[in-house]
Amino acid sequence: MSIALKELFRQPRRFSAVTGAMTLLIVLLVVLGGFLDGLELSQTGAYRAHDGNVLVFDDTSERQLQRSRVPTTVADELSVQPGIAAVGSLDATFTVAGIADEAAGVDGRDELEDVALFGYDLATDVLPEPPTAGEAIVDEQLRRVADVEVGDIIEIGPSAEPVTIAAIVDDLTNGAPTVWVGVEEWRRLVALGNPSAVPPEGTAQILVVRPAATPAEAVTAVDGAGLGGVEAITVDEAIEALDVVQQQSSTFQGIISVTFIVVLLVVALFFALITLERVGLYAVFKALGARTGELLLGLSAQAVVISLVAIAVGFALSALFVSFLPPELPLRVEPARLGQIALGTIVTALLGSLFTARRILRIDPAEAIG
Amino acid sequence: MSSPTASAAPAEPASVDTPALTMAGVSKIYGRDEQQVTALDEVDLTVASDEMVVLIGPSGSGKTTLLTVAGALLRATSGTVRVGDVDLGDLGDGKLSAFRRDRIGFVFQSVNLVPFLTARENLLAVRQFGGGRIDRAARERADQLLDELGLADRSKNLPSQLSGGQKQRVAIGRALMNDPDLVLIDEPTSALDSKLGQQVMELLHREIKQRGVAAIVVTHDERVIDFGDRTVEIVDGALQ
Ligand SMILES: Nc1ncnc2c1ncn2[C@@H]1O[C@H](COP(=O)(O)OP(=O)(O)O)[C@@H](O)[C@H]1O
Ligand SMILES: [Mg+2]
Repeated sequence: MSIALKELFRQPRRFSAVTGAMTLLIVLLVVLGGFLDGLELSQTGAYRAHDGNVLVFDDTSERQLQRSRVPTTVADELSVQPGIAAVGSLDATFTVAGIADEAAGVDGRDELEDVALFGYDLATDVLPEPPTAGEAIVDEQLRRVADVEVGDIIEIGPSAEPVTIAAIVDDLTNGAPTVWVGVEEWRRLVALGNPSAVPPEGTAQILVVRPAATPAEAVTAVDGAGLGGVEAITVDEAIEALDVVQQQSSTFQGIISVTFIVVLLVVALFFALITLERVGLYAVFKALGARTGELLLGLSAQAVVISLVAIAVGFALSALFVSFLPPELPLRVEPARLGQIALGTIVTALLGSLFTARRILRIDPAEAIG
Repeated sequence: MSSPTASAAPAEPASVDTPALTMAGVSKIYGRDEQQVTALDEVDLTVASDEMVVLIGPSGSGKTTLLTVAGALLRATSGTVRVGDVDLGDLGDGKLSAFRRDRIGFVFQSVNLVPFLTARENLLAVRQFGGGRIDRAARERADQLLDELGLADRSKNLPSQLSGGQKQRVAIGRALMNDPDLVLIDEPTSALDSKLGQQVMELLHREIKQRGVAAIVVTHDERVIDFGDRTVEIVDGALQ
């Protein structure tokens, strides 16, 4: 084992303060990252339910679903294009759902939940074929907050139109829990509560294009069809166009970046101090034939081990912390985010440990003698 | 070591006739302009390949500087320094540190053991520097040295668990670990009482003579002068 690691394991107390500080910063990073992912995911569930498909917006809509109006004749023209397997409509509106609860008694209605109501044509990897009139598919999030199950009746909109839950799908939260019905049923339900929100006859908000092969080819096919006034984009592009996602994401990315800078400073400061303490020792090492590179390698090894310990303890503490947070908070701990935090921490710590390179280079082996 | 005889290991053939150290007209000037200090003044010194030279002189006379220059830790301001058949002036900084590791053993005045390594690991550490590996031969050599230095039962102790004399002995073992041609020892007894100092000097003398290694021992302790083959005095940077 290298001399530097022996130092680390035999004098762990020297390293406990920096490890502790890094651990807390990692908890902060996990929580911030969790909110970033949670907020983004909870605004985009309906989009992600269409992953792998291409979305066709009206080109003046700035890629905003509720601002877009696309004639359904466009769908007919697109469906015959090569590279396109199927085309359907997608409409959305925000409304409320009353949860009919027989046990609650007299009025049979004790709770109103905000929901996003979607009308759709095409099944996706997540969504089954649209249910028949009078039925709806709801997502896991609505099941969680409203405690409903398949066969229950929910009452949609201000007019409390009853629909029966036909199936429950994964959490597709899109600003609110989601309810999915067929396009005709959607128009009927929306018209009952808020007629002005229904797109004109013969139009949908956007079209969903199921590619025959890849989404990129389907985008090319739509562009090549020579239809004016529409824009085909991927689901990821549509998500990027959401203001709320952009704002939250840049805010959190900013905080996360600052946190990494703090990690860098903490590690750099620690190793600067420890190097100052070790000038004499390093002079001896150099006099005995050690090269500057070896000494730096030793510091880097210490930085990596400290990071690994801080990551392990930090992740465990984060899990504990998150388990105490109320479940309504939109916090999602994603493995990819954890990987990014772990890697970022190790790289940052390595950088921090190398800040002392110049100082170590300047240590004169002659200082060891006399 | 391939010596068939138990004691006196022969020095390498090349160094039998070549002096271990040749300093010719060596000066070392610290600082510049008004603050210049001439620490070494035209020093000529030759140390034979199996010779033990005792260097004495008042404090500030340049003893440590002489060791530093002879040991390739500092470059001379002028003059030539040869260790064996190598002119130190020909070596770049990178080569110089490898040269120090392989050919020169230091015992520093302030001992300077690595505080978090055991006695045995302190010896082995010098093998690791410069990208070396600790193999079985290295471990055997470390154990043999510790045994000879009377530290066999202390090999797993940290420096903080050793007495001053024991630490000094570990430092001697470390200096001999890489089988150097030249061992440079700065005031080995200054931190020890006279009885302990005497013991350490005896040990040092035995180890060095047994290996046929050249050595310069700096001291201002009158009682240890007898241990050398020759005594050289330095005053104000000049050999007398
Ligand atoms: N790094 C240095 N910079 C400037 N002057 C030094 C330095 N090291 C030693 N000196 C000076 O050089 C002279 C010789 O010092 P040194 O070799 O340490 O003597 P000794 O070991 O005999 O006590 C002294 O005057 C000392 O002050
Ligand atoms: Mg001195």
